[in-house]
Amino acid sequence: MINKKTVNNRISQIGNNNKYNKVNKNAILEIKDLMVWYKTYRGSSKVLDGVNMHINVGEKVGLVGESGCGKTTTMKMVLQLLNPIQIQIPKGEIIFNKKDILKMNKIDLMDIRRKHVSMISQEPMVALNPVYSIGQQFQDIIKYSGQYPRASNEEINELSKKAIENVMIPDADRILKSYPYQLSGGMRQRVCIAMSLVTSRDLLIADEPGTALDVTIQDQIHRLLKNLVEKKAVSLIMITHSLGVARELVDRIYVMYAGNIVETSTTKNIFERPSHPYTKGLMRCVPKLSGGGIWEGIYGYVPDYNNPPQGCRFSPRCPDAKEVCSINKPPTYEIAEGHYVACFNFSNTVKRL
Amino acid sequence: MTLGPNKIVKNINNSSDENEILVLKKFKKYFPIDKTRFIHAVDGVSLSVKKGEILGLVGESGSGKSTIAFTVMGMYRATGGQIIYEGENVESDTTKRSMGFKKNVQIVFQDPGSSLNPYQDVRQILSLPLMVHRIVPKHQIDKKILEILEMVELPKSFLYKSPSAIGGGEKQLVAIARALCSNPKFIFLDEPTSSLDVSIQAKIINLLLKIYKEKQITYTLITHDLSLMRNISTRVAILYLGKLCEISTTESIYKDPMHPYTQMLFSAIPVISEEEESLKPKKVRSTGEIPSPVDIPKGCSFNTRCSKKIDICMYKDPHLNEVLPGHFVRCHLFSLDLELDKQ
Repeated sequence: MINKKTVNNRISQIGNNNKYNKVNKNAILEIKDLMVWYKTYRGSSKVLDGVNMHINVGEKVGLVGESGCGKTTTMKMVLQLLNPIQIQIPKGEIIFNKKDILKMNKIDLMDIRRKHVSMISQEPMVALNPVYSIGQQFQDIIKYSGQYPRASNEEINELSKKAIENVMIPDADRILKSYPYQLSGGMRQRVCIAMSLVTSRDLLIADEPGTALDVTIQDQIHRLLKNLVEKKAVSLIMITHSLGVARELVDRIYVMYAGNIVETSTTKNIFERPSHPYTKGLMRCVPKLSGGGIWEGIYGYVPDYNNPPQGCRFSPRCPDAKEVCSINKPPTYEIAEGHYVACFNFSNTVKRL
Repeated sequence: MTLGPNKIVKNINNSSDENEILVLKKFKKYFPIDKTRFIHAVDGVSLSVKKGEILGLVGESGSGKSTIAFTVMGMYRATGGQIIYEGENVESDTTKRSMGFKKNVQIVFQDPGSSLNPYQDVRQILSLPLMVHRIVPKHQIDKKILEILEMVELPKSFLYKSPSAIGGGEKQLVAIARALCSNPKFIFLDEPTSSLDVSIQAKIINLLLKIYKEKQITYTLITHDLSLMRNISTRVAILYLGKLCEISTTESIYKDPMHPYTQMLFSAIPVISEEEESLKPKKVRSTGEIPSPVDIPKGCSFNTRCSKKIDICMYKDPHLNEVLPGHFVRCHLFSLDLELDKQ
């Protein structure tokens, strides 16, 4: 059990560490020190433990980590898709277009979901409504986006057709008339991408769009997504657990472990100089196409969030853990320009809080 | 590539090697949709698994990898062809199969969440195969279970846990333990790590390799992760729409993928370093989707997506040819049919 005092201590400690996250004028989305706890029968499950990230306009950002690290929770918080009865937000801000999403009323929130942010989910079958045809679902999206207030049915049809052609599906008319079950997995995911980009958006959140698909289809979907995002100048957050996918798609990577951002830098830097022990471990776990066997994996498992480890949450699994790691939460160090690592191993380098 | 006529069309079925543990001959499995139409899940696959090797079966979903494993295990009845295990024909009717076969051939399923009985604890799950195959006398069952748990590196405390109380990686370890209970000689691993994270995947694969070395079990690994396959298998078979495309040793196939489908698969792998990037075929890009196995395209079944197709591909199905020693490819680009056709 955690008493109130220790909670407050922890919070103040974390708060001090996050001054590096300066107000960024270009940022379309800024998450500041976000903590999210799930309420469970065994007490609160402290999933997000001070997440800091920002996405600039037109940037492609990847969020990488094992399952159960809080990647999807973070993104669902952006769209407020979690049931407010089940969660607690002790702390944090999510600033989208200079407004705090956490303080918004329902109408503004609706606006964000309808007009500004869209999301592609992992399971295309679950994301599409099985009882409406694809065309009807497109119609809803276009109507409620508010961007085409007086569009007739024909115009809406035209728009949807164009969107479907953009995702390289021939025979758009047939697709619009069909129901989700009549399409294959790859087709459905393409339709989801088409839907998310049919109206102009500021931010697109892609939650492992290729995971449920075959490698060849996954490759096609990722290429398509990249092209469309670049063409339409939409900012993209790509959630993935595959480092390879992140390498091919995004400009900048956030590595997340147990509700903390442990390392962030440009894609090139991360792959050339992985610095946090967790990032290094993840990289070594990926089987290489060039052969050379398989590393034994990272020791241990993702922690129980009801009873997370004190100090650095990675310390029980960390090969380089020191005494201080299990007492204090590591601050974020800037080890190179734009390369931030939350690890005590870098305490001798210039400290930028 | 120039080929001598003698090298071509050497049938791999006729070799009856002592070393072969499992042989499939023109193996077929069709699922009926109605009276006239069938899903051609596996359509005439001939392959052999040698003792002590790790054969990798690769392909997209719908290519029939799992169907092969399930049919050999007896979950389906084969439509045609033969299954030969250690030189003996295996009946496709499971009631006629010998206990020895059932004991020696085991399977680990893809999703441990649904392959373990949620109403039983680990002890019950593991004791069933021990009792059925009479591996140990009844009073020693608990001792044997602890031995097996130790082998898969699970603590004693797991004995009375139910599958719902343990994590995904540990569930898969229990599933592996269950397969090991009957001291099998041959295990099908049906995507054992595809639902798990990379860090847990590494642990499980390493454990499987340790058991492989200790017990000298032959594995057939089904997966769609080609990078993983590169690191553990000794031979790789690529399947497309129920037919073999290419089969060869791992080194040979990764060094020189010949079939256009293999090249497409390889080009789609997301990799994490420049070094690996240079190993991928550059000019091929993945296009299209796997056609429905109900209406398989005429001629070569890959002709709808192939970038190198020629006229003959549209009407004639190629044979599996030995292009290099031990490297079989089913493609017109590597066969003499082409030249015969021109003449």
